[in-house]
Amino acid sequence: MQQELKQSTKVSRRPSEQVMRLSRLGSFHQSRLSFMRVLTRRLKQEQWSFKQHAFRIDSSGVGYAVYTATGPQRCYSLVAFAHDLPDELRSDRVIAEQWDTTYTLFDGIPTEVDIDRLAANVPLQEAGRITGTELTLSRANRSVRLWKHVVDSLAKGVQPDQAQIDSVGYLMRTTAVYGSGKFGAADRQSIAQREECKSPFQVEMLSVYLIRTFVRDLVQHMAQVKGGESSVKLDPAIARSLGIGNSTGLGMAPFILNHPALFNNWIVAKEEALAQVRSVQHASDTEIALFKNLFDRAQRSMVHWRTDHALQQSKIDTLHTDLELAAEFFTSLNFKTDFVWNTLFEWAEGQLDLEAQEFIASLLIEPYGHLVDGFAHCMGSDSPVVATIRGNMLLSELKDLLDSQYAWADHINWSGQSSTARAWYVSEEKLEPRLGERFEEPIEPYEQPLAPARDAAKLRAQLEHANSAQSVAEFLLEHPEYRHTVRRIQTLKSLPYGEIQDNTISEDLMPIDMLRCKLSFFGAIHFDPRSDRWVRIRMFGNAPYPEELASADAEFWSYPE
Amino acid sequence: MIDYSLNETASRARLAAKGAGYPWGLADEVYRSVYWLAHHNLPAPAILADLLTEIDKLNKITDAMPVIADDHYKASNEFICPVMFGCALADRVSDLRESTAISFDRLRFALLSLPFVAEVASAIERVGVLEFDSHCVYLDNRFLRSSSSDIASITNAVSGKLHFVRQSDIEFQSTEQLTVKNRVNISTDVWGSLDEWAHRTYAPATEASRLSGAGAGVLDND
Repeated sequence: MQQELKQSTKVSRRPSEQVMRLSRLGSFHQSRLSFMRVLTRRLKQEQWSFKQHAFRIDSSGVGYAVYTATGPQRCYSLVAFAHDLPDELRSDRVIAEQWDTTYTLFDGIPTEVDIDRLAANVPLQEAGRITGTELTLSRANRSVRLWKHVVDSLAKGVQPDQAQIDSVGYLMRTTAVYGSGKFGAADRQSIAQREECKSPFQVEMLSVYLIRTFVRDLVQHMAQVKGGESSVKLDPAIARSLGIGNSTGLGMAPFILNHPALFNNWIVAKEEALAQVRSVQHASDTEIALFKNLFDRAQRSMVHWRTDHALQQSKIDTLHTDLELAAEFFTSLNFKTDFVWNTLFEWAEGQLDLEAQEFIASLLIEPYGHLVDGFAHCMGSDSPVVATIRGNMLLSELKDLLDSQYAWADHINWSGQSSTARAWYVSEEKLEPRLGERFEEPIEPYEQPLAPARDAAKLRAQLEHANSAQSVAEFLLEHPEYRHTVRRIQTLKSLPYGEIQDNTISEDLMPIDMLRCKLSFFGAIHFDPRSDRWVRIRMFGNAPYPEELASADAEFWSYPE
Repeated sequence: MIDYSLNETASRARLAAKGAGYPWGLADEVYRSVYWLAHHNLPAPAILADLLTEIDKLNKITDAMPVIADDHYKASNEFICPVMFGCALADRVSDLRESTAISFDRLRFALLSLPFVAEVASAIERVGVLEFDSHCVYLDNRFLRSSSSDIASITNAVSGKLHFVRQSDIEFQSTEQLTVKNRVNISTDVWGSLDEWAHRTYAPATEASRLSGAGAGVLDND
């Protein structure tokens, strides 16, 4: 391989049939291309300033606060509402109707009139309405035990127990962060051209980043109310270790199926970054030292990654073993040899499990910001939500495309119950996606189009009876029921990483793999599945707070020192 | 009237169409049509609600598909759905020439076909000319000229012709440039109507599905 490299000096991206399997996507780790880190990098580089415009929270913890982030072009304000929620009403489920705190990200600085309007709507979440001046809508609930422990400790004048802090990792967890026009918010398209919004999910990430600041301030406020003069402020180091939790259900899963162009761009960016680093001929001493340093830091912080989910715990156990193997391998590896990163990665592919392979894939790009950070700008997508059909394509070409794109699904017997055991549907209750048992529940009439491989197989069967010289336009006039599948196949022609190459309605499907993949691109850590379709994670843990950005490292905070 | 985003308007339109019986791929085209019209400040949701009411009276959704013979788009049954008409047109964009003259009959709610006409006209760098009995519309992706001040009135037209002319033959005025708007005002009645259609796509909730389908546990405090 090294001989080949010297000739081509370029390692190719990993093939889609390797990358796009759910077991691998479900092992992805955060990286410097993750959207949280893209955000903090920008905030630091552009020297954004932050101001608490209001903090009108009473002694019972009820009220509102406004935090404004100002960048080179414009400013954004988190408007936070704090509520007095009885424990029995606290629920992470999307069907909840009350929360400890509710939020919106306002485009600019809100007036008193805006605040009054938002106060009447934001606490209601889905049942309220926001407008085009609001960019996100979200809510967060307390971690009851940690919140109480921290308030009680600070009120008594002592710092909370670090072990308890580490065991939870956050004081509050968000249960939804809506954007992109939901519930009346501004459309993504209306802000997509702003420089600071070009990378995906930047306003959502900014919302969570500011929520974390508000939550820290709120817990100190409540401790001060309770303890008065004997209370103390939270130690900045402890505060720094706290992130914001997030509890995510199936609502997130269909996104990566419904946005193949966007998903493709995320994967291309990451895979191209990896390919470029594997193509580096000489690693500098600085790059080698940084890689080793971050590896050590990550290995230490992985110890705090805990879950009650048996499968994930088994993956974590294997990861620990694999990282020890890797550490041992590094002691024998001459990092000054040519193409050492490629050697290292090929070793990982041969010796380590998926979880560790993907961890190494993320870690390898860390020392190479100058090579890869620009890819963050390519992770958005200007593609229309509904692509135009190419009607003049002949069915023979369509069939060839279908055959090449879904070759990975050839072995699936679609007449068997196990391969179609599940169906995605939307419940009438909160209009959220759910996954049901097709042959046990009356859900099939409500099935969402989230089984592209099954639908492609249906189209292929129909094409067997069609005249291959017929055009797509003629075919669709007779068979409009295949229009969404034809569109997908044509769209995927230019999107090598646009499709998950696994059966999304199989009895073996683990929806958390889809959640994990998307959350890794957000930058989440401590992936903690609560079932096969619901997961808690941690966001922005160890990141510098706004007032620390100027002096602290805003780059590698996801690897605690 | 309530103020909606473009995405929630078009998404609701898509689900409403699915609820009324459109296959997913055509429901996606309804999204495209409604998004384009709403983005250009043209009234789409109310007309879609009326269209879906008529669609619901058909035996099957494909009854609203056009039958095409020699550039004549004919209704196979009661009427042609404007979105299906638009799709058939857009799917044949590579066949369109300046000399192409399309005729159609029993096309209802024609406003919803305008986004497709604009798209194909722009694709072949021409202006689309839609002629009805008492009404004429010139448009591409940037400009719109209507012989009536109430563009929505073409909804009442039934038969007509479509041909394409050079942009230089039309000389649009700056006042005829399509306006762009990012918000949509929709009456509660119209939204409620679309909501009813959309509701047909939702599975009835049960406690069992609530727990197993969504995957959450009962206790969320930690």
